[in-house]
Formats: sequence, structure tokens, C-alpha cells
Amino acid sequence: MRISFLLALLATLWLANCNTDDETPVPDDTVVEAGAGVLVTNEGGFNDGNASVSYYRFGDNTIQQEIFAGVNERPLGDILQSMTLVGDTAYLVLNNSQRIEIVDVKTFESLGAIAVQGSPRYFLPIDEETAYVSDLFGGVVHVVDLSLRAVIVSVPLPQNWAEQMIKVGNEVFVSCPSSFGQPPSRQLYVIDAVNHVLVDSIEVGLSPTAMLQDAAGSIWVLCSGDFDTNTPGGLYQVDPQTKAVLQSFPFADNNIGFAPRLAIDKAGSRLYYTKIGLYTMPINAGALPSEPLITADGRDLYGLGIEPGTGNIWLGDAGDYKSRQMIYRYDGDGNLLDSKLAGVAPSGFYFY
Amino acid sequence: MAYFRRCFLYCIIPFAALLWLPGRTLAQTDTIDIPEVTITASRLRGWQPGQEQGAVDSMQLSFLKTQNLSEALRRQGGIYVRDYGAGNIATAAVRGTSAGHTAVLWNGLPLQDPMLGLADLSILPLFFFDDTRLALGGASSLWGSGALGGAIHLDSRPEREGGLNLSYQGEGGSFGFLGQGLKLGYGSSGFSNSTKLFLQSADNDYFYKDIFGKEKRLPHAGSRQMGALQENTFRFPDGHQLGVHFWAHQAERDIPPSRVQPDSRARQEDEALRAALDWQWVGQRSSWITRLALLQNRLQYTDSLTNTFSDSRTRSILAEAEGTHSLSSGLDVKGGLQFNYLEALSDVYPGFPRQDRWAAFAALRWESPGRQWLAVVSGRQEWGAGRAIPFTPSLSLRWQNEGALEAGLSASRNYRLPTFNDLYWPGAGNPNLRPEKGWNQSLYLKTEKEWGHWRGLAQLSGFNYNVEDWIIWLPEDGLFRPENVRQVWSRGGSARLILERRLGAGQLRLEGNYSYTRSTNEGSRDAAGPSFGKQLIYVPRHQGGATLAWQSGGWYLAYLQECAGRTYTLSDNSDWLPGFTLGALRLSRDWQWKTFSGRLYVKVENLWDENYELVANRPLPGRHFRVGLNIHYSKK
Repeated sequence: MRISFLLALLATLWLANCNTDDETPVPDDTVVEAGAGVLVTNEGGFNDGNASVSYYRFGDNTIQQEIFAGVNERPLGDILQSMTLVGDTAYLVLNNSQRIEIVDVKTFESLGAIAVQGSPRYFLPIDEETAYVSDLFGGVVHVVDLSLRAVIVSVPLPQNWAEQMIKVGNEVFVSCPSSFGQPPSRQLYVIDAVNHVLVDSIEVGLSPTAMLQDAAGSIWVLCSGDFDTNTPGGLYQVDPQTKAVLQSFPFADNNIGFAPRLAIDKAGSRLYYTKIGLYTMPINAGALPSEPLITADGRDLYGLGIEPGTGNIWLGDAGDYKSRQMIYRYDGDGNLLDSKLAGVAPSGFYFY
Repeated sequence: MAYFRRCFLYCIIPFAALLWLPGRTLAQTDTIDIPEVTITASRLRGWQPGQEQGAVDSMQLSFLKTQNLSEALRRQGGIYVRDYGAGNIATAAVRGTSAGHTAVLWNGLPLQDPMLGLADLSILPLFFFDDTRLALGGASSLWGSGALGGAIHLDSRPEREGGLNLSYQGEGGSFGFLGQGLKLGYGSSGFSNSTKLFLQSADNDYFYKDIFGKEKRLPHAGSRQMGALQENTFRFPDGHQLGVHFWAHQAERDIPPSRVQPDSRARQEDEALRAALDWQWVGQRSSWITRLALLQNRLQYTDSLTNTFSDSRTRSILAEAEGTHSLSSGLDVKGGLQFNYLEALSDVYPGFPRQDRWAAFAALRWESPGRQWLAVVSGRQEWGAGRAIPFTPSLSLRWQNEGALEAGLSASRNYRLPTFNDLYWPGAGNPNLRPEKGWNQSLYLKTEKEWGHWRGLAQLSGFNYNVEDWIIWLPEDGLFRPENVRQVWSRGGSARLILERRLGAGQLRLEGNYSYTRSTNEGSRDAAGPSFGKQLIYVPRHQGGATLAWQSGGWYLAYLQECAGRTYTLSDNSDWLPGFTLGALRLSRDWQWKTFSGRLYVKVENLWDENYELVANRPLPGRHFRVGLNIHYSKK
């Protein structure tokens, strides 16, 4: 009698203690409208499976979280490294899931996926049939057949880490940062995008990471330098036709932040980059800016985007990389307009 | 289907055989026994009287001898095991502190690797330890760096005078598990020998669901480990005794993909060599012990997918001397000196980091004439490791009333030195780190009672920790770097209840425990950030377990229940692993044949087939089965 009472008591205790978990919040249905907002990619934590996409609407300044999971009723994957918009299709590169999720941007419904064995970083469309995918460890750029949705060949590179890619004519320029335990890298590699072979290299600063092309066609490369040897990086301007380095702006120190970012305005005439704080300079400036436009103030500025219509600046704070963190919207003069909580490690802003 | 048939066969065949075996009456049937185990680590016995200690129930331990330490700790109150599954790394954190705050001591020697500051509980087989005990609460005043949250004591007990004995335990079951241990023991008045061999392997190819909900068998998850432990004691006249311990261990593990990864090619190999020599002398009013030990670890990690190939070796030499003297009746003093040399040779470090550490400790113990009160004041100071180390005092007090009621109170200052990785990791290591330090207070109240056929024990305890300079890795100046930025406040309590009833020649036993832990981030670099004031990740607030067991005429049947509330996986508590409840069954039959005796048993783990994780996206097996056999032979 007493034992059954005790058992009942214990059972009640377990029920009370163990089954108190709330259901996970279900985001609202969402539709992404052209020009109506910004898509925020949240990288997530390694092996935490919490990569996500948030959508901020300009109209009512509201943010919707986890739009992919909300629409497709499954998680997106692990480590959302980058997103590439090609028309109405988005390619979301999930580094640790070793796959690229293909999504209809308007509905955010999954259209399928490309498996990439390795450690995919960035996606670059070459033509209607082909795309390139860079790889963190493999020392290759993968060539993907878009109709087969599969890697058909991988182009070997002299460095392990292939990062960002830009296509100019029939050539693809690949930035290769220095990787752990490897000789230092200062190269952009040039791949013939018709025959998928390495054809050339261009020496810039130490550890080239972020790249973009300006209105005049020049490629700008942000080099992050090296912490171990205390070697600063810099900003480099390269002519993709002649392969010549047009201008070099070495940084005074290597205090550059965990993952420096580079962005350009819609006109292609003003550069923005993070080096702890946010700096900006016109492409024809003769020198680097001496003061940041926006100071970090203890934040880890991990995401950067420039709003096409307004020139507003978007910044994401990665915090401790183990919690949902804030994104910030500033006007072009660096005045704070709004801030919202996004996902874990907000790293990219994409304007559709 | 074949799977179920196999499971069925595992269960039925041995039990059909069991019914034919002659029964052996258990020694425990006439006296109801709450397990109490001998303690050999000299500083543990009686020198922390006010601290709560938990011993793994010896009956439950007998079912786990071919498994690893992590399995035995999972059902203990006040400790949370983080198990990556499939034989991979498992660590334990006490009362809301972190895994690095739990000292793991083998006969008093720290097993935490200097590079990681952790001991991997998955490669510490229970077969090698005669006594497994958990001390809840800080104990730096006795055990130095690392014992900030608590300590796990793994001790050997020298063979008693009793001639030769030989025992074997083998267990096999689901997912290709096979664990075997063989022990040769010999004890005489002047000499004892214990030789233990251990072998364990598993495929760990259990079913799990990936993050897209697709059911798969866990690939690349095999594990294998083997070890040999040789221990000898030589007893000399006039109270002298020499102990020799030698332990070699090797493990190879394929690291399976997490639920978010499609595959994995990572592999880890561990090797450990541990040798210790101790000389003890016990006189009328004094005793001393000196010890010399060499501990060596090698860890090789390869992953062709990420081009990672690392080979790390660490070595530690420990020399210590400790003496105890009785000043007068009821008043004892203890003091000791310790030297510890640590080095690491790793292809991830640019140099060859080394550390010398010296420590002195002293303690005074007073027992009241009626033995009602027992009080210990102790203190320890360590020097070296290139940084200022705090003095760690401790006060421990116990009061008891004729054995019916007991109360304990303790307060201590504790610390943990930064690990080699914290200090020397290339480009990130921070040479300016301070030791983590904190204050800890705890109390408990215990009562035991016997009435008629009943016997019971009830215990309540509470604790409080304030830890400062807690080291976490944060992005800074271009790299993740460790920094002394976090302040943590952990507090909570636990309750434990044991009820036993004699039933004819048998016994029914109910044991339950519940712990509440609130461990919060009270400050870090982003003091106003979203993680401020929030529960630390991987610390469940609620945790509990219960066992209902019946034993009679050589049979034993038990149902075990284990449960934990949610554990947060993000520091702002916006995501978590859901709570879980796990059931398990144990059925065994003791047997005797001529001079052989032993036990045959069957276990069902995760009886209700709960889908759960202890580390995010590291799946653990569903319902599975094990069959084991224990054979013991002794000759006077």
C-alpha cells in the first residue's frame, strides 16, 4: 500500500520535472517579396544544426525567423556559409551539411539539393548548366552540373582553402586564404571556366579572403593578414584583364576581427569593409580611411550588407557564436536606425 | 526482423539455461545492506566529513563491469554526463560547473590530460576499479587544481589474505558490443597481486534519424579498447607497505558523423601509460605515504575530410609525500608536499610547453569525545605554472546523533589552472590567463531508520558555488581566444531516498534521487548581452532517477528509471535539447558449481525506446539488449 503510494508520488514527480518542455516556436508562413526586405543568413553553430534564414521587412520593420524551417517543416542544416541569388532561385551553401539547398526565393520552398562531399563555402553560377563551388579543406573548386545536381569534376588548386569567386568573361578568380598548418598564401588563382583548368595566379596581400567587383570592373580583394606572424593584410585593387595589381593599401596593423567582410554600394563606387569597426571609402580614394564610420563597441561585426535603394548599412553581431544575436540597420552616415534579434551568428545580408 | 530475432535469442537462451542452475542464497538476504565501500585514497577517508559523497551501488556496478565510467555516473544525482555516443568522448560535470571542474583521480592521481584539462570517461573501464566514488563539492584544498566542482575517485583495493582467485566477466549484445575482463588475484599476509585484462569492442551501428528525418544506421562508429592493469602490494614488518601499479591502455575509435553531417572520416586513437609506486608506513600514532607516478597520454586524431592530422603526447610526473600524526585523543594533523611536472609534445603547438608546480597542504582534524562532532580545517597553496595561484582553505564539519541523524557542512575555496590548450594553442593561446577560482558552500542532512521489516534512508542537501575568472573562448583580435571573462553562480539541492523491505528470504528495495541545479551566467564580456543571467548550456535544472529492485534466492530483478529536464544548447537559452525519461531492466541469477560461482544476467537498456541526446545532434541508441556472464573461482 505504502509502496504503491510512493511509486505514484515518484511518478508524479517525474512527470512534473521531465515533461515541462515547451514546443519549439513555429514561425509564421512567409513570402519574400522583391524589394520589400532583406534576407539574413544566420550561420549557426558547428554541429548544432541551427543554421537559419531571417527575413526583415522594410515596410513595418518586422523580422521573421527561421523562414526555411517554417515553410519546409524541417531544419535547414549546419553552418550556412553563404547564399547566392540567381534570378528567383537561391543557392544556400551549408558547409558542415556538405550540401547546397536550392530554394525558390519567393516561397522559400526547397527545390532540391546538391550534395558536395567536402566542405563547401561559396557558390558561383558559370552558365545555365554549370556552377563552381569553393571548398575549405579540399584544395579544389568543384564544378557542379546544375541539371544533374552533382559535382562532375573538381579543379585542383595549389592551396587547401578556396574561398570567394568572381567570374569575369570566361575566367574565374578565386581567393585563397592561408590555412592552418600550410605555407602562407598571397594568391588569387585564375581558372579557365570553359575547360575548368587553372591558368594563372596573381599575388596580392597575405591571406586573400573577401572579393568583389566595382563599377569600373576592377576586382577588390580584402586580405586578412596573419595573426601568428603579426603580418597585417590590406585592400588590393586588381585589373582582371591585365592581371595587374593596380593599387595596394596595406593595413597598419593586423587587428582585423574574426572574419573581415567587404561590400560595395549599388552604384559600385563606394567600398565598405570591417576591420573590427566598419570603414568606408570611395573606390577612387587615394588612401584608406583613418577612422571607422561605425565602431564595434564590443560587438563582433560578423555580417555586412549595403541596402541597394538607400545605401543603408546592415551589420550583424556574432556575440559568443552560441546564442541568437542582433542585427543593426544604419543610414549611410552611420546613424543607427533599427536593431533586431536574428539567429545564431548572422553573417550575410541579401537583397532580393 | 532478423534484428528482433537476434534480440529474442539473446534474451531467451540464457534464461532457459538459468532455470536449470542450482540457486545460491545471497549473503545479503538476511541482513539488508546499504552498500558501503572501503576507501583507500588516504586524503578522502575522514578528511572531508561534511561533504556529500555518492558511491555507485555495488549491485548496479556488477552489471556494468565491462562498461565505462560514464555509464556508472549517469544515474548518480548531482552529476551530468555529456556523452557523444558510440563510445566517443564522455565527460561529467558536477552541480552546474563544467567538465574541466571535475577532478578524476585514480588512487589519488589526477587523470585529466594537461592539454584538454579533461579525462575521457569512455576509456576508463569500470572493470579496473574496485571502488568508484563521487565527492560532490569543491576539494582543491586536498586535491588541487581541477577539483573545483567535485571529484571522481577510482580506487584499487589490495587483495585480502585469501589465496588465489580468478574471475571473468563477459558481456555481449546489440550493435556488436562485446566487453570482457579477466582478473587474477592473489593475497597472502605479505604479498598481494591483482592482474586485470580488459577488452571491449562495438560496431555502434544503431539506428538514428538525421536532421531531415531520414532513418539510417550510424556509419563509421566502431570502437575498440584494451587495457592491462597490474597491481602489487608488498607488506613488510613494522607497518611498511610498498605498492606498485602499472596500467597500459589503448583505444581506437571511428568518430561517426553528427546528425547534421552526411558522413565522417574522423578517427581517434588514444594510448595511456600510467605507472605509480607508493610506500606507506602505519604506526601507532603516525603514518606516512610517499608516492611517485608517471602518467603519459598520446592522442592521434585524423580526418581526411578536413585535412587534419594531429599527434599529441603529454607526460606528467608526480611526486608527493604526506604524513598524519595523532596529537592527542581526537586530534590529528596531516601535512604534505607535492611536486608535479607536466609537458606536452604536439604537432599543433609551436614549442614544447612545460610546467613545474609545487604544492603544500595541511589539515587539522578534531573529533569530540562522544564522536558526535568531527571537524576538519585544511588549506593548500600551490606555486608555479607561471602565475599566481590562490590559497585554498576549507572547513568541513559533521555532526551525528547515535547514527540516526547526521548533518554535514562544508565551505571551501577552489581553483582550476588554465589548460595547455588555453595557454599555448597556436595563435590563440593566452599566456596571461589567471586560474579560475571560486567559493563553494554545501550542507546535507541524513537520517537512517529501521523498523520491523523496513529500513530507510533519507538525505537532503543544498549547495552554492560562486566561480569567477571562468575561462571561455571568445572571438578577439581575429581569433578565438580563451579569456577569464565569465562569472558563474550555481546553486541547488538534491534529495535521496532509499526504502527497503524484507520479504521472507528476499528483499525489495526502492531508491530514488532528484537534483535541482540552477547555474547562471552572472557576467561576461557582453554583460548586458542576451546570455546574461541565463542557465549555462548543458546543465539540466531537473534530474532524477529511481530503481525498484527485488532479490530472492539468487534471483535479482530491477527496473531503473533515469530522467532529465531540458538542457539548453544556446547560451541565451533560445534552443535546447528536450528532457527525456529512460527505463532499463536488469535480471540476474547467481549460480554455483563446485568451487565456481558467478552470475548470469540480461539487461534491456532504453526500454521505452526513447529518442534522446546528451549532446546536440549526437544520437544515442534506442532499445537494446545485453547478456553477460560472470565466473568466479577461488582457492584458499
